Amino acid sequence: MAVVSLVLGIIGLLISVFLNAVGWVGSLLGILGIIFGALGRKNAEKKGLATAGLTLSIIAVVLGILFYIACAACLGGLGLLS
Amino acid sequence: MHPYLHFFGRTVGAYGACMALAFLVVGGLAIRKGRALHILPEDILLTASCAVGCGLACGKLLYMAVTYSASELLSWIRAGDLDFLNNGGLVFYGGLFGGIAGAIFGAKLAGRQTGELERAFIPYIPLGHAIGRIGCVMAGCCYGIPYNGIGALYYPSAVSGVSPVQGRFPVQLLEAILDVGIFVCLWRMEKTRRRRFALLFAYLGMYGAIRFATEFLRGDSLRGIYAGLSTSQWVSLCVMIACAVFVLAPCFRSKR
Repeated sequence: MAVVSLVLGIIGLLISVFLNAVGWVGSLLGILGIIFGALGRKNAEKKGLATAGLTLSIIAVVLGILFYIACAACLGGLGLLS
Repeated sequence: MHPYLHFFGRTVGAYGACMALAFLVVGGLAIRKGRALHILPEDILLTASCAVGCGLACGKLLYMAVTYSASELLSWIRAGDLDFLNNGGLVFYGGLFGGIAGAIFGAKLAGRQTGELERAFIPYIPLGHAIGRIGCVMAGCCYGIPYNGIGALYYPSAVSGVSPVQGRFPVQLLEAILDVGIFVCLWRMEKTRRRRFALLFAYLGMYGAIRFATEFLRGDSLRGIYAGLSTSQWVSLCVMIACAVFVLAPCFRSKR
């Protein structure tokens, strides 16, 4: 669980930062990373790894939302403006 | 209107920034409340992730359902053009119901009772929604009916469909203020004894009534209209009926 969370967190973070056009994929992986990280933290042996995965996944979700989500009306309007 | 913000040389959408801030604020407050209720932060995060994931998916699905026709969607999928997933917004009610279903699933996964997580989450949802509505003001979406009085907002004609000198009613700001009002009510209610899920139904009832009324002040056309009422108004009506049933059910039970 902890390793899966860490891998998902890293991939999600990379997608969220560098591939803004598909930022929702980064957020999706981040959400899955948080779920696995939270479950992984229940295992005392791999708590550190799970915490790292959890942290990276939370950052991936926030950055994914920050860079990707925009408003339909706004984007439509700006498209017309340009 | 400030649709874009600049952070460290990068341009980000104001709406996305407000949504990210809303998630952080709601998540942070829920973890803080969870600690007071002896709920582990990972259980809060697990429930929140399931709720956010399902909420975003359902919000997007409902947006696509009311914005595009089935034939349009099928033709795009057949052509391999998935841009419709990248474009467009979310419908709040889709997100809310998807989020509730996701939270129930997340609570089961965490081995927690939904009732105890209700106290940690529900009062803060309207606060997050209010921050999201500020994002609408900045992005220039979800605007109101034509209005030139105090507090009117002015948008470029390409956004609002009317002349830039024609103001729009600040319905997003009104909803944000009313959402803060709901937060205060739920925050006070949380401290008192009440039935299980009373907080959830109180929130749904208050928001349903507000949304039903404020929809009359909305001027954007990106919402399905059926029999004179918008999709959100029909959903609000159903939500208010469900809340009335929840409130009245014990009275009927005690009469028996």
